[in-house]
Parts: sequence; C-alpha cells; structure tokens
Amino acid sequence: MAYILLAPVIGQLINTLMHVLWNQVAKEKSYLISIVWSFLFGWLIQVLLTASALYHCNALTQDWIGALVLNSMTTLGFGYCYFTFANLLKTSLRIRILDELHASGKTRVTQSELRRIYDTKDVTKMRIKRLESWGQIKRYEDKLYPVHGAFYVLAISLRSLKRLMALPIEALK
Amino acid sequence: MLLIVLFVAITYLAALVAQVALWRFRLPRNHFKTLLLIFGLFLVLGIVAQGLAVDWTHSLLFAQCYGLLSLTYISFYSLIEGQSPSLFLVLAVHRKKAEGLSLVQAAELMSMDDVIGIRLWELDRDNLIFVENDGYRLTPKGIWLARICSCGRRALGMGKGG
Repeated sequence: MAYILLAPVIGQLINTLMHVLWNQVAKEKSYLISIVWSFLFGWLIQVLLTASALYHCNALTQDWIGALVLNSMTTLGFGYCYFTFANLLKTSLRIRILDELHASGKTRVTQSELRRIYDTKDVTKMRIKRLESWGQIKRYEDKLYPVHGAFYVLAISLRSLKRLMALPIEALK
Repeated sequence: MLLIVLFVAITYLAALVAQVALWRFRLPRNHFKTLLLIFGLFLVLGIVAQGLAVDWTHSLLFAQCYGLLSLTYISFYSLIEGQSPSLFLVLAVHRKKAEGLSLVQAAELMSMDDVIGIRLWELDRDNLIFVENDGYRLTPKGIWLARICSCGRRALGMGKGG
C-alpha cells in the first residue's frame, strides 16, 4: 500500500527534476514542450511503480484499474499544481512586483517608481510575443488577428464559469 | 480501489456544488479562505466516511488524491476570479475579428495604471507588502515568498516575469 501511495509523489519528483534539468541544459527552451514531456515522463514512472506494487501483491483486476486511475488523477493534480507554480514565476504581475521590491533591499519603493521599473511597453511586447509563439494570436504588420486556439476556448469558458458563480465580469470595449 | 475513486469523485463533486451554491447565495469576503474551508470540510467528511466504510490506509489514498484535486481547483479558481491580461487580450483580438486589433489599442488595453494598482492592493490585503511613507516594502511573509520565487526562477533558467 505504501508503494502505491508514494508512486505519484515519486512521479512528481521525477517530473520536477526533469523539467529543471531540461531548462538548465537545453539550448532551445520551449516552455510548453518541456512542461508536457516532463509531466508525461513523471506519469510513466508513476504508472510503472504502481503496476510493480500491484503485481507484487497479486491484486485483483478491479484493484489494478482503481489504483491506476486513482494515482493518475493524483499525478494530474500534482502536475497541474507544478504547472501553475512555474506559470506564476513566468507570468505573474504580483510575483514580479514582489521581485522588484525584494531587489530594492531595505529601501521602500513608491508606486510611481514601480510603474517606471515595470515598463508597460516591454511587458505588452513580451505578452504579445508569448501569445504569438504559442499560436494563440497572429500578427500581421501592426495588427493582431484571432486564432481559434486553446486560450480563446479557455477565456470563453472562464467567462461562463464567472457567470455561473455570479462573479463580476470585466467589460470588453 | 475502485470504491476510493468513486468516493473521490462524489466528494469532489459535492464540494464543487456546495461552493457554487454558496457563491450564488452570497459572495464571501475572502474567496480563498472560504474555498480552503469548504474543500477541507469535505475532506474531513470523506476521510471519516472512508474510514468507517473500508479502512484507514485507504483513507490516506483518498486524502492524497482528493487533496491534490482540491488544490488544483483552488489554483484554477484564481484564473476564474482574476483578470488575466493575456486572456483579456485574446478576447479583445477575437472581438475585432478580421479588422484586427492594432498594437496601439493592445498597449492601451494592457495599460498598467489599473493593473499595478489592483495588484498592489491585493498584495497589501494578503500581508505580503505594507505601505510606509508613501512607499511599499515587503513583509517577512513577502520576503519569504520572493526568495522561493527567485530560487524557482533560477532553477528553471527564467528571466524576469510578468
């Protein structure tokens, strides 16, 4: 039982280790590809560990199905939490503000200084470039055009969930 | 084992329904604390029910899976509640369709005047920063979080985020 319980934890450790190594060693850093492959590798290790534990205790067919589904759900949970953490480091404005305040040491930073450090133009360029490289928008000359990508589906789904939960929805001009 | 999967699915669904019902009835003041409370309460209920129905070793498997799925939902909830500038931009581009959104319009849309202010207010609310003589400084909790993020970014070879 302990091996079955530990399999997703070990799978996630392998996932994290592989992702860190990938980002340290690879010359061409593709963020999404490294995340997906590291997760799949960690998940495979988890499946092998779970299967090995089940094989040694002569488990019944329903236990095989149950344990593999349960541990895959747990691994998915671990993987999503790790993805969110990595994503926060890459895209979160709040983390960036904390970073700038931390870098300033013991000196206090005013709001206008933060606005100066946090260059709006650079951030907008960075976000447009990121969306373009992920295939979520197309750029032609000085204009941006829509692509029916995953982000659009996600944005629409999130708006529907907001409506369901009676949360305020920001207006689009 | 299949029974545990069923337990996880039922408990998780019940927690989601309870959350949506509560939100529609009245929005809580602190969304994340309330979410932790709801999912924590259902975790305890699930563990007790599991322990009574099967045995406590199975409860550990249940708690691990349900706990992780709850954390997944709670982190996903920040996407629902907050306004992601990138997703907002994608929606604005789609609204313009074939006409296209100019880079000037995109820059206006991503104007940081509101965004920085809102983020600072949220960081202050979460006790990560505090105001001192018209300026901002990190609280010990904020310093701790900034250090973790700095280590994470170094390990993943990332530049400045945002």
